[in-house]
Amino acid sequence: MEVVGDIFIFLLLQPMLNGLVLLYSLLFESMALAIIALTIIVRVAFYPLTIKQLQSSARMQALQPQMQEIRNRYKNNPQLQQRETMKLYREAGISPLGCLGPMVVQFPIWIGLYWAIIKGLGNLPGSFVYLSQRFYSWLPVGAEALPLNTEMPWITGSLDLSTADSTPLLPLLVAASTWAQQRIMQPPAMSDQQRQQQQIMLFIFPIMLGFLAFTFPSGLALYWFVSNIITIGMQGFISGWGNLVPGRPRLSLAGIVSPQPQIETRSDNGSEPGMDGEDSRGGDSAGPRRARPRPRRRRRRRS
Amino acid sequence: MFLAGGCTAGSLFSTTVWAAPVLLDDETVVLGTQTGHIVIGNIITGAELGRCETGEGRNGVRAVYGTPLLHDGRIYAGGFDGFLYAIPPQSLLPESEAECTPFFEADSAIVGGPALTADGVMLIGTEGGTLYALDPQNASVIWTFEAEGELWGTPVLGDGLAYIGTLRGVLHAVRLGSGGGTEAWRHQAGAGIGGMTLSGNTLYAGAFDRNLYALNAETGRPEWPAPFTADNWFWAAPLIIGNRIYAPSLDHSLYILNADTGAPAADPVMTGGAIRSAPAVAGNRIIVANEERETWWIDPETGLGIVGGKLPDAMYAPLVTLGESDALFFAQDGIVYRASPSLRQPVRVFPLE
Repeated sequence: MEVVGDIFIFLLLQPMLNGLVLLYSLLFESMALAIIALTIIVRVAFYPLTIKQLQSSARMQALQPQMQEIRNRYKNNPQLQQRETMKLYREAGISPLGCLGPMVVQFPIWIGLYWAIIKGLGNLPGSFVYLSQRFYSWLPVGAEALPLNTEMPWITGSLDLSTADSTPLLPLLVAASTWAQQRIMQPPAMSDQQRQQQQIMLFIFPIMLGFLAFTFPSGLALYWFVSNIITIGMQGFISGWGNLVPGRPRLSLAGIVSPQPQIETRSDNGSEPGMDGEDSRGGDSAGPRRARPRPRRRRRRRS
Repeated sequence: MFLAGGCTAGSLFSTTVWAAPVLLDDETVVLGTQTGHIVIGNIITGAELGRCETGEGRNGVRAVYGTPLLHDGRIYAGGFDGFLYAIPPQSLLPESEAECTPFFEADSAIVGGPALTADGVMLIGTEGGTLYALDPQNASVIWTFEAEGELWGTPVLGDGLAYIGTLRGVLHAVRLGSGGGTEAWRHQAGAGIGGMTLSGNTLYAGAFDRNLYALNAETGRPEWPAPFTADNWFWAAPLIIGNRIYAPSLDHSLYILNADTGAPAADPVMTGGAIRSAPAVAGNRIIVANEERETWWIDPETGLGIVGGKLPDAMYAPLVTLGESDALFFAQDGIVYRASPSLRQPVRVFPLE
């Protein structure tokens, strides 16, 4: 375990600590600006992965009608249902776990930042002990930057980023931005059960992160908030704001989604499964929806 | 799990043992602990004689970082909660959960310890940068001095002057007596000031900019052509014996320098860990302990060191000489150990299990 800890410190915590202190020195000795800049740098560094995740997510959304059709068709044969689903994924060129990769990669960043704040930014004797062991000797800043200014302007006058916000504002911002991020990335529900699950998830994570933001140092909450805003912006730019703005249709996924393989989408009542989350809310919620016609991409299976 | 790993009752932040143990008599020791307690213990029997708890300070941290001071039958200690405490030892009960009774409320957290001038004025610095001169009998403020930066150290006292170093790298010499609370001189270092030692008319001050400065105590003028530079911070106060300086650094070395010139007088003693505790002298040996739990016993003449027994935890607090030949180590595990040159293996003395 000690080796794992050393690797974690060497590969993640130490670069993050030094990066934060370097950014702090460059950005007017403001830890708030340093954390925002670090968030942007992390998001830019993971941009290719994030795009892949968003594309994967969008493709998954686009496949929902076909997947629902498979579920309906093979509801009595789970094995065949799974095989057909995997075949659909394969033909569409996506991995069902593809959207998880960037999240998994970002998780260590959270942990690293959390420990960087806890260990290094408290301006406590223990923090100095820790920083003295972790500064890169070749970096032009280090001890000269101490003690770090961890205050940022806030409604109460100032907020110490090494402590939790005493007001509910930052936790609320984290919770709201997490909700919005999930909302904009949420695939359309294909059944009442799925919609209920989505509704639950839509609120569980924001509440959980809001609670953590209420408890953890504000610096981490600031990272979450800025990171959420960036994700929302990227997702909105790529696939539209349809999920976020009620009544506004989602933009076409054509720009990022390659032509999809199609299976027979006509259902028993003659309608077609819908793609649009907002559009699909009218009428029989469990039933299939009408999709935008895409004649050039559609392949009908001959019966 | 990783995220929750730092969650402890009270505070997410870990605290450290910085205070040296203080001997009340041959067998009784006073401790300021990393859990915010002022504790009295018997180092012969290992029994606790009394304790009280200080309040919670910034970031939810409860700690007594500065070395307590004994004066006029009371234990004076600063709390991270911003209070100076003056506790009669006999008022404390073993294993008590009672809160310590505050003596004086400062403007912010107290990290360093108090110091007592020759004319009986108590000095204590705060994180807010205020140096208070107090009457130790009634806590009335005689004067204050606003330093340029956070004061984490214990004031060093000289002839009519007190020396304080800030985390912003400013070393102030503040007048005592008449005209007390005014600045005599200041010196700007490249980063925070670490431990300081006054010897004769020279003030030796280590700093986080990796430099050891030698300054004229009256004027603040540098005594050496250039400060001595190590590979890492000077954290602990150097030890001066005769014409030699023994300066511990976080680069793992104990530097042995000529006190007049700052030039190396012997090869440094290379230990296996960062040295954060101020060394002590016991039995004609310089004792050094480091963060890697090593203890070193060094001949001050030759500069040759022998590794003693390992401590169970890292050492940050200054070492204390006990009698003529023994030393006390207050390690990061909150336990006091004792060792001597003849028996170099540290032995746990307080509290005993």
